[in-house]
Amino acid sequence: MGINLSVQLGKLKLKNPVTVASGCFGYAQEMESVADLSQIGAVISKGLTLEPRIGNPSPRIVETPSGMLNAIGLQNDGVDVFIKKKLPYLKENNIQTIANINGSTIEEYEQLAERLSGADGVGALEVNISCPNVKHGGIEFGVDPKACEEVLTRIRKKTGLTLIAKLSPNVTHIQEFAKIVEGVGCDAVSLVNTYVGMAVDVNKRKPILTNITGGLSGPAIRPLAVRLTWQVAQAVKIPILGMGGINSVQDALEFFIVGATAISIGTANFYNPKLSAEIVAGLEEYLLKHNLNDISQLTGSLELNKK
Amino acid sequence: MSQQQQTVLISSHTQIGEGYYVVGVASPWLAQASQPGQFVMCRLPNANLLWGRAFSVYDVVGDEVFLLYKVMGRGTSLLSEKKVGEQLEIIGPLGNTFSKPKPDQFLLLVGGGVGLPPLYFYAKTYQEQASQMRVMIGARDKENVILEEEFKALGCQVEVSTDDGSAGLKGLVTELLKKAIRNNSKIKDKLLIASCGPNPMLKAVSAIGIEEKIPTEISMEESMACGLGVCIGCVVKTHCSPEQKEELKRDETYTRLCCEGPVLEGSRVIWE
Repeated sequence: MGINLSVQLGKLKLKNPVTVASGCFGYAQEMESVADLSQIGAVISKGLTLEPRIGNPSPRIVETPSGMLNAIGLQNDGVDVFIKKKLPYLKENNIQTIANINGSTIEEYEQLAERLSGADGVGALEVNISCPNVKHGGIEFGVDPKACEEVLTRIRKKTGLTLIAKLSPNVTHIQEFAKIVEGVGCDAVSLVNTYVGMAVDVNKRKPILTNITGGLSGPAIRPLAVRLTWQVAQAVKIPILGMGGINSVQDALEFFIVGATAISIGTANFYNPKLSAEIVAGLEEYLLKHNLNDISQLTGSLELNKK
Repeated sequence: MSQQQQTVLISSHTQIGEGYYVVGVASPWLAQASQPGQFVMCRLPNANLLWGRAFSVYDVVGDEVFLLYKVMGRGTSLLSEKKVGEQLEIIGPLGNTFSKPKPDQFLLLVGGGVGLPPLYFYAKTYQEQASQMRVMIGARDKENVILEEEFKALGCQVEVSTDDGSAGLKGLVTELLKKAIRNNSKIKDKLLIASCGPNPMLKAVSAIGIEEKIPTEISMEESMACGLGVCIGCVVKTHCSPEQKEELKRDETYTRLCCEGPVLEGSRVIWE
């Protein structure tokens, strides 16, 4: 009996549900010598902006207990360089590609969506409305329901591609935002982006990051992300791309069981580039062991204790 | 040659000074592929630490690769407790290299503290030119002067400076550099500076290189999560190359030390 690991996010079919998160895998080529790119369900690009962005000064990252803070500030060469120089490699190597887009205004998001919809080799768009490390845009659209609705409505009109909205966990009721995402016609929702955090150099009495605050990721946030994935799964019917501190097969399974259709590996790529391939193999093994033949049987299979 | 991820065994582990250790790992691949200036990301299995730690390659003998480190925090402290036969996870070799010196060039190697190891590997790789190498070792005090005898054994001329005067010249290693340039003014166009150490020292060395119009390569360090170019954490501000200028529509950029460095032309760096 064959095991089916393929999943559907809107129009986008993934050969397996294990993707690599934006900003954690570059544009894939950087990882070709240490990871098996053919095993990855989809690569989500480093966050793209309309114009090249220089990013924040160092220090940009700091290791924290079971996690890390980052404040890169969306350094990237801009969407045109992505299309011209990064996309051809992804296409030639048959890597399913999801472009992560970031705007400081709604117009910028619209233009990014238009430009990438016309580019050959982009399978879907992930709209980052949750970057905590830039002064304008980003998280502003992810923590204000009205702004969230407006930006997603306008992007939806500009693209026929599968549209995924990436939510911020830095809100009181994430379900409210997930419902907006579903209501405006997005195909899927991804969560979570990083939690805003801070670390202090006690000898200098200064923030360690030049940006003062940064986004917390890694195993430290996993229980928080699992809980939000579970909440969102109860609030919407669109597929969930779940992420936050996945570091092993077991971690990935938690996300599927609480309701994720697919998952993303983030921070763990930095120290274990082979993890996505390990998880693909581990999911298959788990399904076999539990007499399941399709990964979709696992999604939302959480059994609650009877009261 | 590109990098690999490997689990390797510790083949030797020696304390060489107060807080200084040399760990040897057995890896034919790494031994063959490593070039002077390159580094590895070294991770302790099951140590409850997220990132690997970046260490420059200090020496290669046969199939063994040696890393010289100083205990600075939790990662290096845990590493120092590892015994021969235990495992390390290595990704490497990573980054670019120091330039191969031309046969008539004279190298001025300026190292500060634990910045000396990559310069040693550089000197050893081109040992046939050791008589044309002058090594300047800067340290806080006598206890932190490392590799003096090892450089001498290669045939290099070696000078030392310390902040407190407990060994060599009392003062900054850049004073030794200035003196070396003065003493070699007749062959100034044959000089090449290579340096590794703390940023204030590298900044001063770069400024001397620019002023004296001597090509200067510096090896830099910043917090690093992946070593592969994807986290974009380990950046320093630099002037754009002509190609970058056109593509990025600006004059300055942040350059990743892990894959576009760690060795940079000193004149490219914009000190923040």
